[in-house]
Amino acid sequence: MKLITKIILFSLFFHILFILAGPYVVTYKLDRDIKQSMKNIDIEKCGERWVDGVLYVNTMCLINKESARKPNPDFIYTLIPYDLSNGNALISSPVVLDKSVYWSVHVHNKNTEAFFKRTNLDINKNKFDFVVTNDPLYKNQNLTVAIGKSTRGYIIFRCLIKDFSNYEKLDKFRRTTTIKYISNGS
Amino acid sequence: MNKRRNTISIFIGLAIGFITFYPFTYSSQIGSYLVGVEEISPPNSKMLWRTTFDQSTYKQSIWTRTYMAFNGLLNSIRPEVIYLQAMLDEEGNSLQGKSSYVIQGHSPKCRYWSIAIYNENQMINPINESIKNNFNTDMDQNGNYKIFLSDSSRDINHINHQGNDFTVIMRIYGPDSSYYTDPQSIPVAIIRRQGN
Repeated sequence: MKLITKIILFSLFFHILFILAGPYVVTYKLDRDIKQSMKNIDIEKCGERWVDGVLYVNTMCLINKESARKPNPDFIYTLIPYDLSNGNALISSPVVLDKSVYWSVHVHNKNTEAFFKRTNLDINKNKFDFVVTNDPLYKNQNLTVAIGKSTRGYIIFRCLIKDFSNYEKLDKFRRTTTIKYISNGS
Repeated sequence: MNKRRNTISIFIGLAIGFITFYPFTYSSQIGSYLVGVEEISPPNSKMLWRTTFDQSTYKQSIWTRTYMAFNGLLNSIRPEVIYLQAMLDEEGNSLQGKSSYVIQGHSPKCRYWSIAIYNENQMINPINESIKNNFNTDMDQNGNYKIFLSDSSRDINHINHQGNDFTVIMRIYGPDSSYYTDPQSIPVAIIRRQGN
């Protein structure tokens, strides 16, 4: 094989390899920042942020985070990293009933692709419970089911801060979010 | 001889592979051009807003997935949001911290829209001065707005770039569904440099 042909083939190989690995590099950095948040070392500055598997993100504290890629300063973010090797994840979250305030939840695979989305226009209760699983055959008659492809991933809640003076009120509101792992039969 | 040629081709291939991957890791003209399936121009302007409607969905290409992961981790998905990015002003010049600008446009049909600026991938501090939205921007009765960008003056329709070079992201949440079928109908703003 000619040298130039080999170079082209290796270039293509490495380009595709880097492109496929790219999202995992980003989520690796995110996991690193999440681990740092678990230590709750910025409690005074950012509020108590990691509580029982839920990261209550303070947007002000995202400024220097390497994993924070163009976050929307208007949003208050709540992030749950999940690991389905512990069972399916039962998520419970408060929902903003005021439809003029944007609220949404997205569930992402480890490679950042989203496979589930709901907004407060879809939900008419002040609480939303749903199950995250990677079992395509999983069914639950009582709860909404989000079926992904990877064992690990992320759930992200966005809530619009219409007025920055409302931050503390919204922060308090979201703190009833929970994650619990349940068996397939539950 | 053959082993040496193999080693050379691997190293050159690795270098080219990385060089062609790198533009997907930050807000770059090349990266956004390659993944930006839609280019939208304000009327009578050369400036472009780029967007991709399939970001973060299973439909997206592997290049879009990587570009979006590096440029907006854990993005919302259609039909929930349209992200538009502008890196140049109406004359085709990059957006610079030493200049002042005015962003002039018409409010899109949606639940909520915002215009925010970023220095590379990071927010510009103080963050509450780096963004304007439909709730806190003064508009005329037809929904037209003018937002000023500079590092000094302050008024209600003002974004402070703090002297940083920047890119602009417009987010349209809960957009009118017609925007997906007719992207050119999205009322994108024009970014005009002021003074010298």
